[in-house]
Amino acid sequence: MNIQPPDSRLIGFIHHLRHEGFVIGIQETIDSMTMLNSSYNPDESLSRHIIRSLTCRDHAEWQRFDELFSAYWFPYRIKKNESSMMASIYVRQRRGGIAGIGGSSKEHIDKLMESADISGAGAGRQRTISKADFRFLNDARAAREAERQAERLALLLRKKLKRRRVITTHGDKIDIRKSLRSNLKFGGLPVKPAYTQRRREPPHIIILHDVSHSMAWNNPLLFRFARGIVRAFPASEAFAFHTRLFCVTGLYRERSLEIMRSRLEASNHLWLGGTCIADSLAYFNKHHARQAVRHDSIIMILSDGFDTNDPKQLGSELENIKSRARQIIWLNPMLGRDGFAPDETFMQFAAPHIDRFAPAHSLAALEDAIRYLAGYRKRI
Amino acid sequence: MMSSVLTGMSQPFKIYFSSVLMHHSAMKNLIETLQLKLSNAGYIADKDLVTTLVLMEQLGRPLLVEGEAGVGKTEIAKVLAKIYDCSLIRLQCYDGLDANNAVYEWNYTHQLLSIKLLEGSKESLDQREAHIFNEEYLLERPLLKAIRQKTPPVLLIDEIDRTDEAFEAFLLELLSDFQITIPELGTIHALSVPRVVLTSNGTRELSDALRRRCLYHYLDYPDPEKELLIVRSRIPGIETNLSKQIVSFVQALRESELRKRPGVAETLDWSAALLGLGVNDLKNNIDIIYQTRACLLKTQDDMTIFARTLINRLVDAVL
Repeated sequence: MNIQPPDSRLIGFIHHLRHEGFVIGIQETIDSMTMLNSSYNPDESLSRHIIRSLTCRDHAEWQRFDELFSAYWFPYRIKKNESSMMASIYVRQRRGGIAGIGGSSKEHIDKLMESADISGAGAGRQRTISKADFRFLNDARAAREAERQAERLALLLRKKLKRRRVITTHGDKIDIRKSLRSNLKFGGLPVKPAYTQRRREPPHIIILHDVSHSMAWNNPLLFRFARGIVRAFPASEAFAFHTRLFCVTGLYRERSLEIMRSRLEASNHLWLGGTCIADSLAYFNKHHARQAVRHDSIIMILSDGFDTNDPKQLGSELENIKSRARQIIWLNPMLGRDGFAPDETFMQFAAPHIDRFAPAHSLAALEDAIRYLAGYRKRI
Repeated sequence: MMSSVLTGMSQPFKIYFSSVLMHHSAMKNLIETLQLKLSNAGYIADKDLVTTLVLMEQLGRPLLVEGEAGVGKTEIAKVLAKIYDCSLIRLQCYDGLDANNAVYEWNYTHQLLSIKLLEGSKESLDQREAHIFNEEYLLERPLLKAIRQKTPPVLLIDEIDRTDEAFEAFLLELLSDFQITIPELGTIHALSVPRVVLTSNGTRELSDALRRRCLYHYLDYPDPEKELLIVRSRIPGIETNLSKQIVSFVQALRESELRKRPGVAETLDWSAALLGLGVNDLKNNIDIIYQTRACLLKTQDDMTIFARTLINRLVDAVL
């Protein structure tokens, strides 16, 4: 019988965790081996606790660890039905109770061939995920990573626009420390005082998120993106629509992703209907706009633009919104895809009221949108 | 037990496995001892948390604790300071926290006064600068204070997710090398390595660099048995029946659709309030439950949801 030395098995387990997306360095491996005395530790729960504390970095990894530990060290314990249950949970988590990720198997294979390094580690993987069209990220792990990154991107905008004070040559408050340092040459007299000034105000963003059936493939990514924005900016609001419009700010602001997903699943009526964009915008203008929209609001519409309403009506509603807000940004997940061109009538009636019409099919596209928002705030 | 395990092994294997089992046994002893100490100090901890705390002590690495508000993250640092009989230094993080408020600050008024006093002296500009930028004028803030203690303190960096990434990056030097660089004075090395506990409510993603330097523990809401132990340990005068009812009710309430679920701190507040009001049975005190709901719920939305009908339903279901 070929029995691997315990050290090798532990290293094998660390490799297994890395393959599952855990970021584990050499130091963590050494610490794990040291704490387990570089050998087989007979107490399962103690070993489990030690390795978990040393290798997990966030709540998601913490939740997955037990399953991975058992699967690696005690595979015989996992019964067939448990295994399939795990798989279904995995898929459910991936789909987030909102939409499934489809695509034909041929397309899937082609895209995976293109992005062969998705399963690898390091910068290559990050780059691939950021450029990949989300529709083709059928690999659950890569898709989950993309969703996480989308939310992170949105949160980054907050960092870019924080209300921190910066040192300037003019401003509303004197910075004593800097003034003292720079005026030493004048014997400590504040001849040239240094000031601090408040950075730009955070933007007021209102998200109108199309959750109709045609958006099903794109929604997991855009949903996390929208969630990130709503969480990053407390004054922001989010509305979801298909044939009707609903306020989802409270849902998107929920801190726990799991709780939020279960609440979303419970609100089945919210998802996957037909699409009446113009009617939804009319409802928004009539019932929410007065309270929600400010003169400096940025309206961000996340939609593929497939509408069963009259394009003229859509143009008119957009014009109405534009008269209240500062800007309308329309992020269209179809726009970055080959062979897609927006409908001519849509462009004729809606485009004149849209300040930026940009793709939203990948992380890179969303990053462009964030960069635009950050830059836009500089100019006002 | 050890001898029975080793029976029949060759001598080299006996030596090898003896050392393994001894190490294992020592580790278990450490965990059990610490768990008992924590319990005596009023903190009921699971084995996995105690294991992490032992690792933190043995490896000298910071501990990052995440979890919902009110599950006892901050309390870990407080109780560690208590059982190690050392000082607790707390840095409360907030949006806009910078090095001046966290590490050190120069005493400007004294420096200005000193400059004025030195005006008549014949010292050169360099000498004057060296004079005003020495330790006499240095004001210690929590991080600097923590690394300049002779006895290792417990350093609590609370709600790290409220700061920005620039400050997180600044913390990296402290957490990996336990040193702080002050441009005017140079690098200050730790006199003793503090036990660092960082807490986060997960309002934003922390950087991988920070996470990599820390041990990680996710503190979840306690299960009913553990919560019952916590209530009895913290509120000694409470009756067994009432404590069971309180815990069952709060556990059921956490399953409801609330914006902010009650944590352990809320359970304890509520228990103390009910005890103060002389309640000894929840079943017949629906009005009291309703009137004391402020101990459990923290938002207007939740207050609205928490109507008498919901209370009746919960009481019927769990009591």
